Amino acid sequence: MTALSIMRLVPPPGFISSGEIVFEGQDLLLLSQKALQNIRGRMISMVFQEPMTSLNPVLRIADQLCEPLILHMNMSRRDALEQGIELLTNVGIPSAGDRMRDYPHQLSGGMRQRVMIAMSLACHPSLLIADEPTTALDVTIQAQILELLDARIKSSGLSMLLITHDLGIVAERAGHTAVMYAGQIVESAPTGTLLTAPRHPYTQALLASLPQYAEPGKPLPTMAGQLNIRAASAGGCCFAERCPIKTSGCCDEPQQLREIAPSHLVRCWKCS
Amino acid sequence: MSNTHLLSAVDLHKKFKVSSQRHSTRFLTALDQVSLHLSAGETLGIAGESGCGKSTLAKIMAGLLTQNGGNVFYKGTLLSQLEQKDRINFRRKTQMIFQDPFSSLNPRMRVGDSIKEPLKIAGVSVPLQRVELERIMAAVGLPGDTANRFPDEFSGGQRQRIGIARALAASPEILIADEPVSSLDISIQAQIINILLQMKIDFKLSMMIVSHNLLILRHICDRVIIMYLGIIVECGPASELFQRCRHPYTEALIAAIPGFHSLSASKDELLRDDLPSALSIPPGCRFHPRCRHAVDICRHEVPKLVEHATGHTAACHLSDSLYG
Ligand SMILES: Nc1ncnc2c1ncn2[C@@H]1O[C@H](COP(=O)(O)OP(=O)(O)OP(=O)(O)O)[C@@H](O)[C@H]1O
Ligand code: SF4
Ligand SMILES: [Mg+2]
Repeated sequence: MTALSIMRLVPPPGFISSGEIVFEGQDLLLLSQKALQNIRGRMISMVFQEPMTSLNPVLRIADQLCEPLILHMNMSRRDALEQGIELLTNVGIPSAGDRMRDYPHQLSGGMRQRVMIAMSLACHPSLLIADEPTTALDVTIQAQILELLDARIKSSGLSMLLITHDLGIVAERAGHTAVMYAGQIVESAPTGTLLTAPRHPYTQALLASLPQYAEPGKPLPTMAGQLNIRAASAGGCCFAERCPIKTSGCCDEPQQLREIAPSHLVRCWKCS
Repeated sequence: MSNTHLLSAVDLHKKFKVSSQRHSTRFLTALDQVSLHLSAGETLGIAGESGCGKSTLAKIMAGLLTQNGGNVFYKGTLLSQLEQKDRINFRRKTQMIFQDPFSSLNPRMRVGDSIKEPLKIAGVSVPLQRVELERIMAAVGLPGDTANRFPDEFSGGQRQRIGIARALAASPEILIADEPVSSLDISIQAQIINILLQMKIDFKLSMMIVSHNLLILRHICDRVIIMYLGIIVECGPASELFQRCRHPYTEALIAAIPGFHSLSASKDELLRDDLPSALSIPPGCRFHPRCRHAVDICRHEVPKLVEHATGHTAACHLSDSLYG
């Protein structure tokens, strides 16, 4: 939901109840639809988790990829086509020229995802919001795309808000990481600290359930219960219902995000 | 040989027609001479580059897509020659979880009804259907009060769990799962993996799991197949394959696992950046343009899939000299 609300694409009945989203000094929630549209298309770009829901099934890749170039970058159709092929090649789509004529269903799951990524980079955005951008991709292509994004970050000042559940990627790519639970940030720290010395019980439980540390074939440690938004927003700590170290004090009032070390924030009163 | 296996395939070939500028039609080879088998109670993992044909293979094995060449056998009988009642039986006993959860759910059907459908088909009584539905939804971590909602009200990960719930409701004998957990967050991923492991113990469920997450395959699979551009390049027991792979592509895949630095060579050295394309398959070893070990023979001669140790095959001319 966070990424969608930054883009102000939160579908009804969802809405942003409070807070502000500041991008280059402007509060996006206060902008008019038109101004927002411009920012959204050009400066902030987004890659969604499910490519099939954001690619138009009846349009060829060429048409979908070139539209923003013609619309936002004032390119001629021919330039846009050329640029489109280059973009596809950059995200690792082989025979890009031929693929331009394909419809989305003719591509493999991973290729569709790469097309989405190419589209998102087309207009040189300054912020890229990537929601699980590489989940459908095998590790070598994954590495290649993240490499490409890294290069863009270094060369053209692109910033990336990467949303993922793959902690391996987080470990390798993110400078700073925030862990969310039930719509709230529960822990936020430099990535190294977060992965080696997590403090919030939720972060700790997450790390414990990764398959890399388990003996093959044995059940993985899991968290009790399941995310229940209603219980989580009932007052008290949002994680209390499932927390292994919960005591009666946890349910008294909502937890605040506190800084326990420089740049290390935790939403749990037991951590200091 | 094939009649002892639950599900097997011999020399599968699949091509797709692709769009072309001029009127000439072009074909893309998605699978080329792929043979494999799944034994009862076994978990087989399939990994490989995006676009190498994993989903195509999964769909053919599930009887949902027809191949252009080769055969699929169910308990020794050609899938295409199963008698009507065996065919229905196969359909029911073989469930598939799709990679793209959105396109595989009926958008106008409440998810509870979607999940219950296989139970209905199996003739389970209505009250029992309700009990089962509740149990299965809880097992995959879906709140019971969401049964009356429609698929578009769910997140990607939740939709994936609806697909899993639906497949499990049918009490399958064979489960073919295409990236079943890749869109799920870690804690739910762990829950689903545990469910699959448990079903394997309780019901001797046989599984074919496509995933690019090699750590997950290592955790749940007995055997793993590595594919590259429509062929199998390596296949072996999971424990062995991850400790001692026998193909340069597998080596590169293992080295590229984020946060898994077990090999001495750095990732960048392992793969050359020539992109593979199913539209123009290189001659000789189809991996040679990206292989750092490639020698002359690799460019001319197709390496055969050879058994190097019991049940461990690899298709590389240099496998013995590289991996001993
Ligand atoms: N319906 C179709 N029409 C044309 N080409 C197709 C079709 N389905 C798949 N292909 C092509 O066949 C090849 C294999 O596709 P497949 O979906 O099996 O790949 P995959 O290994 O599952 O990839 P991923 O990891 O990205 O999901 C790809 O080149 C793809 O573009
Ligand atoms: S056959 Fe040659 S090119 Fe192919 S994987 Fe082996 S060494 Fe590399
Ligand atoms: Mg696939």
